[in-house]
Amino acid sequence: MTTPSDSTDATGGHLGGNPGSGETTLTNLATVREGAPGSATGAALGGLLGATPTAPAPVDTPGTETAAAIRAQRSGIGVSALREDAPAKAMGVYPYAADLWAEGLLWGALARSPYAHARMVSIDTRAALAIPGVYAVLTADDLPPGPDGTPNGAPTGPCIADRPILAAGVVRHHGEPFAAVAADHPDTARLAAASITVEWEPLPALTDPDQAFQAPPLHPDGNIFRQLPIRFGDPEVVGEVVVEGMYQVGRQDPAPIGAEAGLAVPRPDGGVELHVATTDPHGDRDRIASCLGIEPDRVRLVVSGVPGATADRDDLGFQATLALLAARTGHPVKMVLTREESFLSHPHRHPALLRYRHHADAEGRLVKVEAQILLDGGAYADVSSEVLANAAALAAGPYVVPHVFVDAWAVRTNNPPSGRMRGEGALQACFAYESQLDRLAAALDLSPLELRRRNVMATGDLLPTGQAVTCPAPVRELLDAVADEPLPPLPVDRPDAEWLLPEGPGGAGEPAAVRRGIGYAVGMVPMLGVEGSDEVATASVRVTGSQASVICAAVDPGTGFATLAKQIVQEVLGVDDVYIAPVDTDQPASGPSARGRQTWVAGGAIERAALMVRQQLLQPLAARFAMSPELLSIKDGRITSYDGVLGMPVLEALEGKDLWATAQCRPHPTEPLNPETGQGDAFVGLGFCAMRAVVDVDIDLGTVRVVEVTAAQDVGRALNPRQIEARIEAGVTQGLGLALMEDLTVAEGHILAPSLVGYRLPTALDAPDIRVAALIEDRDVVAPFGAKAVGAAPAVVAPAAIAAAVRAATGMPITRLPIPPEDAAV
Amino acid sequence: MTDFLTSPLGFGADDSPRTSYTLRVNGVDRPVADAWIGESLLYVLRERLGLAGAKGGCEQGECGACSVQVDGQLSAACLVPAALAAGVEIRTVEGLAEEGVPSDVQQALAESGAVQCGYCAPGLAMAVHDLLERNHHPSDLEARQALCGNLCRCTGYRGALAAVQAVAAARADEDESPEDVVTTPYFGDGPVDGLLEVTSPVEELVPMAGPAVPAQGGPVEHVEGYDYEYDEAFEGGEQAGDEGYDVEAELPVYVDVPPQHGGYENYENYGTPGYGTQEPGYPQQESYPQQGYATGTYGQSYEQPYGDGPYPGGPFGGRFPSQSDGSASGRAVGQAVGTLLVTEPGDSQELPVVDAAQGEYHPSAGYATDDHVTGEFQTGEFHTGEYATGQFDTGQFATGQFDTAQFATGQFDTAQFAAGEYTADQVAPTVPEQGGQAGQTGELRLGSGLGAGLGAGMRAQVAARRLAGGGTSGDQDPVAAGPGAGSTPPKAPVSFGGAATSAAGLPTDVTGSFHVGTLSAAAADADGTASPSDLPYEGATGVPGGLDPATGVYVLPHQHGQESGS
Repeated sequence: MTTPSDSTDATGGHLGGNPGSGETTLTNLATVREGAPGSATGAALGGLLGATPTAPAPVDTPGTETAAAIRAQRSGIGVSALREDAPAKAMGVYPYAADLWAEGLLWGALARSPYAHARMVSIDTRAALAIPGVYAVLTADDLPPGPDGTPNGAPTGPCIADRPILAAGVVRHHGEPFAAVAADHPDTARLAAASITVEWEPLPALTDPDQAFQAPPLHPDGNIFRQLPIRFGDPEVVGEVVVEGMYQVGRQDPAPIGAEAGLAVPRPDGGVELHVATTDPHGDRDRIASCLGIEPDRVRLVVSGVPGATADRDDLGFQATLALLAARTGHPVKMVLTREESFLSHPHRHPALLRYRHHADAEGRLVKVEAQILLDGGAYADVSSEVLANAAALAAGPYVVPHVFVDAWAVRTNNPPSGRMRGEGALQACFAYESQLDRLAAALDLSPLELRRRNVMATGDLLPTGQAVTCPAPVRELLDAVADEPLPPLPVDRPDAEWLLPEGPGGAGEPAAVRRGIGYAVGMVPMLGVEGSDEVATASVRVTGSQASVICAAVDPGTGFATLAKQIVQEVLGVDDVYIAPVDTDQPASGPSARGRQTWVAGGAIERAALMVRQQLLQPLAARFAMSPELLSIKDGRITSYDGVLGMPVLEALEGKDLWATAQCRPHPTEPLNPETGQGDAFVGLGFCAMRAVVDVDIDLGTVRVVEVTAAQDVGRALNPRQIEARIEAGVTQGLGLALMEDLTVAEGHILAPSLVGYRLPTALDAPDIRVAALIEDRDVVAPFGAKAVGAAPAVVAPAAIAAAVRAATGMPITRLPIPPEDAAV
Repeated sequence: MTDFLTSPLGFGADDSPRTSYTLRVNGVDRPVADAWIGESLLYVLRERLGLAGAKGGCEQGECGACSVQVDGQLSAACLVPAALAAGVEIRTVEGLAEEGVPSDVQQALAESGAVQCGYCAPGLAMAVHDLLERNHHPSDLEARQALCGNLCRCTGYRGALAAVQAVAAARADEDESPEDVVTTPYFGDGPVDGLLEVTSPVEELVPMAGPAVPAQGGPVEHVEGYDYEYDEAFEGGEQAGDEGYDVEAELPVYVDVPPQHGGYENYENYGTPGYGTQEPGYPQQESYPQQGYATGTYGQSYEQPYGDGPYPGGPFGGRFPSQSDGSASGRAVGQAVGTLLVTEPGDSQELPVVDAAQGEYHPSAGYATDDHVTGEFQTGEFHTGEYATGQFDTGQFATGQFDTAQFATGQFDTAQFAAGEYTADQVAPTVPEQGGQAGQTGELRLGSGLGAGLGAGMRAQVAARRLAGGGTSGDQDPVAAGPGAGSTPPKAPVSFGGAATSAAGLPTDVTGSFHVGTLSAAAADADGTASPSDLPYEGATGVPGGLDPATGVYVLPHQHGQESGS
């Protein structure tokens, strides 16, 4: 590893030899400012062009050694097992909801509000009904009425039931559905939806969250979803060095490649069977039933293939209306949202405005953190209160801070709905506190890495909520791991044709204007639900003959939980052939696949059920061997006694047996945060991640290319290292999107470009090299297998790391996500 | 042989125009009866033919999940009107796997971790197949460019890129004579060598209908509708305009671009021995369902006056013109669409061909012997961005670097340039304005690239600003100078107040350029909630709130009123 002093010398030397680069002043500034390890920090790459290229370091693909090391083991925990469904998915035969078909099916479509805020004076559906092929046109009048007997659109929601599935009387965001159509052709249905005549009375749209406090209430529930203060320590303390900043996080869209789709089939009993790609089947079933006014057991949800889920996929305005269309027409109804509708209706990441003030002493130890956080929750509550709790409670980051004062608000506006999206709440705070740390390092003239090292928390430290961190918190180790990784080679070592400049191949790239920056960030995410939510999952494991099967209603939305479930059973029972049953709501509930909870909760339930089966299997054998079953172990498909003398293949012991067990997992309970002080043990556990980002910035144009991201993550135990790497890869890429390009532009409540043209996702040309420096396996004793959830933390940290790298390359204060080019141009 | 122009056109019960046609999908004729003419190929494949392998992601050619090969060309099925695809070979992801066994590409994708939720995987599989048929040894950058039209949300594309290299390496190992890859003259996706047998199981599944073409150079069975004289002219190498072109001896320039059918009048310039002749060991029949070329699929096509029809550019007008700018096939604009392979005695070179050259720039002996081929295209002077900004100086052509006569004969359609179909920069205005925040440069997508012309203009502006502005940036330390310095003018210090601020312990005497006035105002109420009746909705001072696009500073709506109030 290059030491800081080396780096400065090396860079300075190059620049001295190339005075013609014209960027000397800036470059030196950036180098001194960053002062971080790495010879390329702030170097003008153009100036290095003439220099003798050093030998390019071989870019090793992470994971190959790991894969080789564990190849010896065939199955079970710790193996990089492949997704079983991957070949079928690559062949296009794996069914998603949009691929389903039923005899005589109709197509559904939704009519959506063109206004961000308007009153519906009247609705005329006659023109739509007159179109040949239209079977039904439904409005809020067709839904069960509210308590006062008037239609209220059957409001529902995961926390507070305030979102009507079809708007009644008033629409509160652009694209809110107010009518549903079923017809014999999708285009007929859309045509009919478009020909519904509504007399609108536009109302002033509240689109600035800052105004929500004073604006007239948009909803009977008021405009403030939640206000959460955190009071921790002494308010009068003032540090010797104070830095202050205002940060803004844009509206990221989950943008799953497969838009929402579903097939509803009416049942003879008046109920309905829904095939949808949800991540919370039981919750959706209950909410749909209540919207339709029928008992939950008459609604059955079958989870089809989930085409991507970085956010909640339970859009009830779509699912419940689909069920209603099927029930009313008596036909199967299929609905596939267009990309535009998908952008309009599903929950987005909460846009945030964060104002921070960090106090530190002269040695760089944090003294106090003050923060004000404002989240734009959109028109309906969704999970805003939970997101706010995450943002407020983690507002100081993984650092030891004796005094923390936070005021946080989540407010209602007429903007597109906000909800749960990977790393919700924690991400917005992470960008702000990591930016503040960079700012503080600049003020103290310390390296950002050194400042972080002086302040990182460890097990036993207190969160601002007063809760002690009891789980492993190897933050320091994570930072050291990413800092010790070698830096990527400079592009001067590559052939010209392979040099990917920030503007892309064939673009306006100009090597002389490109500078490289290196940034560090650490962050943390909560595990499982917070503040007393009842986290529970149920699973059944059955072994017949040579096959084990798992029945567990935990949805695998492409995160690999099904593979994990299989590995767990293989590990416990020694049976290789494990069948994971498809998920439907006839199975016991396992809760939503969100907040990284399924590995813990459903994985724990599966483990317990498998252990109970194992007990049933070993008990008679132990009796035959005349020893306690605890003395028998299962390894490599064999049951062996402790001394290795007695043994039997597992399959032989299972012959003729049918063993079955059901178990539940419920982690230790949490408590709500005090509404006055924000104190309370709200979290089950925490996960940490550190990253180093290396970026090339074109300082003329402000364009950025992320060259490499190195990650180190606290995983508790690596149940499937390859899958963890895939999660890190996904999180980094999603974080890169938020950092550089993903922003759903909204003006006056209208989404301006609800398409994948206007909303830019990272492509193969944007994707950086991703290196996993370390997966730190420090087992969390309260978690099943000691494993922590891994999905959210990389997505939380990556934007902060990339912003820090851009900051290092340009010397500009990067305060907005995604980073606009004008902010990164020098 | 049914296409939109010749098939019976009727009207359905609801007076919508309907038609019947036959799609040839993976070598099987699939009749489609009484379908609305507006249905996309994606819809017909999925909903009428039950081939759900192509996924619908965006219905606007952006996500690549619906990628199929239409007539050998990777296309976004959502943008191809199904009725217009009648009669040509359509290859979907279902045609890649052989009897339930995934193809080498599909297997590699699955094993490399490219498949997570899997929704983009069929499109990725098509794109990788397509890439490896065109380019047997793609570099990392070429692979990234080829896949940048396939969006994936669950991975960072590492698996897909690894799969490309793995399959390329595995196929190279299987191939006995990899030199053939660079020396065999071929165009587009036609058969090159035995490698394609692996990837095209279609033939073995269903015998091709129609006349067979002998593999070993035997007499070609004559088929109605095909211009055999034309074909023979090829073999003789004597056709007009070919100027003594010798197939065997000197064919120094090949363009590895999928065949473009917009320019049939220039067909003689193809100079492709691969289509008419059968070389020894040239396994056309076995390897790829390209009989369409030999049996006259296009025989009838170049009789038709496409330019005048409702679909400019021919019966495939919905497809090819849009593909010329890369958008329809899901590719990002500005990427290389193929490889210009320049071979000289003892040497060969692959050069990327950018959009403007696609389809229109056909190699001919004349080009090959001229000096501008290697020079101009290689150095990138021939660039999409330059067209956009008008730097495409016709004078340069007149000076003989480009033969203007060749342009005049339609090899470059000047009208298309004028319409901006090829320019990366002109695509941007189709995106709605992104508001003040995104600013002028908000449309930069790395994959599509900021065109050189626009970029140069912006650079010039930056340089001018630096020269004029002097010390606005660069010679001061923006970070140490506090938030907003450097890029934003200093704002008047504003003091903080309000109950929430003091409750939060924020010293009221600390000043800064950011201010959250209304937050304090809201919390100032004793009960912690704002009372709407107290304060007018429109704001006390009329100062509009929000992010000032010019300065990047969050401006507060009630700044003045707030100060006095607290």
